[in-house]
Amino acid sequence: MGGEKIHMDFPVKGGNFSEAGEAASKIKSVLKQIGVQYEIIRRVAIASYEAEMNIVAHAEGGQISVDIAPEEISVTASDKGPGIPDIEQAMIEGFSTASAKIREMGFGAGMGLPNIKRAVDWMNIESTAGESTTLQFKISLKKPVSQ
Amino acid sequence: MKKEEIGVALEAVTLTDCGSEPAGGYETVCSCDLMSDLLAIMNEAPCDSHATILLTGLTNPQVIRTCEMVDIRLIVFLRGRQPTNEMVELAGECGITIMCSPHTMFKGSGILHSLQMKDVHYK
Repeated sequence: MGGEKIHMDFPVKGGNFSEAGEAASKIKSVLKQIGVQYEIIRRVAIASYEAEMNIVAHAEGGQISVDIAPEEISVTASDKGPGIPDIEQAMIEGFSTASAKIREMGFGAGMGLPNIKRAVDWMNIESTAGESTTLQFKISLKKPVSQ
Repeated sequence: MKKEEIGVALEAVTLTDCGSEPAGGYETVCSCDLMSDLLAIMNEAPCDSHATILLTGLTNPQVIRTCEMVDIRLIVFLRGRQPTNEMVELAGECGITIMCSPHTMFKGSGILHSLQMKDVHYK
């Protein structure tokens, strides 16, 4: 891609499982169009999808914002919802507060945040219990891709 | 293996065919009912995900979306589970072929393993 920066915003409706994943799908599509390396696209897609599913599964609603610059891709997933009382605990694989409905869909195994952390180069979560959560992550476009 | 060969081996019915397949056929198999597990496995997998198929008993639209995220292009639903029309339509939009096999996950995985298909190699 050239030196331009791209910004995109995607609203996400809480509890709307029929549309869940559409934002991540559109992000992936744009990255393919602008010629981002395949491995980078896969990592962004996985992390964005997990972030989107977290909003759908746990929050009242939110937004996923993406900034694509020549050196990195930045994603911010923000929501209004119950928040995360203990972020450290939420990062433990297997820890989940998902409902039975979420588990029936194949999610809620407590892998979402750990999956995001594994896929990205930098990640930060801020949350206010009972109010909101903001998850940010970045993937570098400058680091060599693993063979 | 070509998708037609996979279909015959698993006694599967093709519900929607995206048309394309890897030039060398499909090589690896992921057998999974947990979508976050699938994402974790494919995030670490050294193989070409376009040559990977998913065997699963989970039938909901998020299976299609998850496969779209990791570029899996062939899904075989096991135990005779039938995807909904919504899922078939979404699979078509995403370029994913879906089949339905009567076999269990153990038997389906065993059949493909005996035909030299390989594991995805989760690290």
